[in-house]
Amino acid sequence: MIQKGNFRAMGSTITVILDSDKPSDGPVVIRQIRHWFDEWEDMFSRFRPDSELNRLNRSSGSPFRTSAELMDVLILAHTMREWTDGLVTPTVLDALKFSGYNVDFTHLATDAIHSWLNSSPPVPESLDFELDTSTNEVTLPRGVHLDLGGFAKGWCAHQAIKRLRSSFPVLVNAGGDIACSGSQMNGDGWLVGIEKPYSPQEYTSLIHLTGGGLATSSTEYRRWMKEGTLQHHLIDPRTGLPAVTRIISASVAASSVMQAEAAAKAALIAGSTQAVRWLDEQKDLAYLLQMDDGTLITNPIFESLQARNHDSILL
Amino acid sequence: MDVNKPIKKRKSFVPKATRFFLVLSSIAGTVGIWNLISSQELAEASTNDLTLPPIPTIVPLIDDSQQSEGISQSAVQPLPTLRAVTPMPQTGYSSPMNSAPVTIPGPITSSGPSR
Repeated sequence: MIQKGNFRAMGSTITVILDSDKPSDGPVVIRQIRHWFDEWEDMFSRFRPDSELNRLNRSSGSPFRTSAELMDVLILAHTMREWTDGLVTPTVLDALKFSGYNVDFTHLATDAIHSWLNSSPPVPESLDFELDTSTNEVTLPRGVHLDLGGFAKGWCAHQAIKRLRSSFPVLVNAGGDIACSGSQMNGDGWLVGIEKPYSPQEYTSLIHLTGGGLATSSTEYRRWMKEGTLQHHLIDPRTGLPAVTRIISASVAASSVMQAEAAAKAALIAGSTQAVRWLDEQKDLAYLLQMDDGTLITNPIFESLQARNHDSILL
Repeated sequence: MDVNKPIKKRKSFVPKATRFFLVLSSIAGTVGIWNLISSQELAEASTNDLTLPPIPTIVPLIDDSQQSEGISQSAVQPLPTLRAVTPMPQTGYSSPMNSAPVTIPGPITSSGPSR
């Protein structure tokens, strides 16, 4: 029996879906996951002054002892930075603030951003940070501050399904970053829609997810005006500015939601030509790129996931 | 009333039996002639060769040569060629082409920009 619930956390809607014959499992599991997300948000949010992340950012230049969870997310971010050749990195917080994203997005006025005095975006000299996993210590280079936005959301969704997957099939959707523990009890995959840009009630594609994760990065929603210029939240670390890209939305399915999230973001920042080349090099990624002229770019792995048997009824 | 007045009897040149025979043979003749004509047409038709018009050629919808050379492993399709997939979270749908309701499972969740 499919049971489903939603709650708000980390500035996004979190959807929990589980397949269990016990009707009482649903409310208990959703409450439990909500509790975990609250705990994790206390650690990873840049909008909570006393979050562990903000304490780390204030320690810039000195060693900081982290919790096991924060260390885990930092290792993940470090790994993804290496994998994407530096395109996806948490060290873009100052650039993100410079572009105007300095308060929770729900409070961000779209037409009245207080500009910083800086005339050029801050690009840290060093994008690296030191991790000592034996002591759980991290040292940020002076002047470098981290934003764990996407990494943390994917990590949380993954942790939730990891803790529950021995009990029943479960799927967690953290603001579009979807982690699933495997197929449903009847062996079917989870049917997931990929939203059409500027039309969230329509789907460009439906795919069957039988494990791993799916994530979408898009310039469509988290965007705002600053001094007459349209800004969005996906910073290109090479320029320190919102990425200039023809890709409106990049969706990637991978063996984990964290990998999917990083790949989708890297593709969008890289731009279509580089993105396709890089994604194809990875071999095991399924992707759908939705371009600004309406063109869709997919690869054969993605097409194999598409729910073709629904074509006859989707007229 | 003058009973001695002779009764005037109408002359009948064609006897009733003859008239009945004429009507019958006229109907039979008409039916017979038409039957003969139709049989002749059928016989002629069956002797001709059946030449059917050619089946229309199936035209490929996507021309491979139009795909970008730089993205050989990818399939590029213009958006208008794909159907817009409308979410159908409920289970009842009646197609205008088919009055019988079809059970449709809508997507259980979706991936898009973080909202």
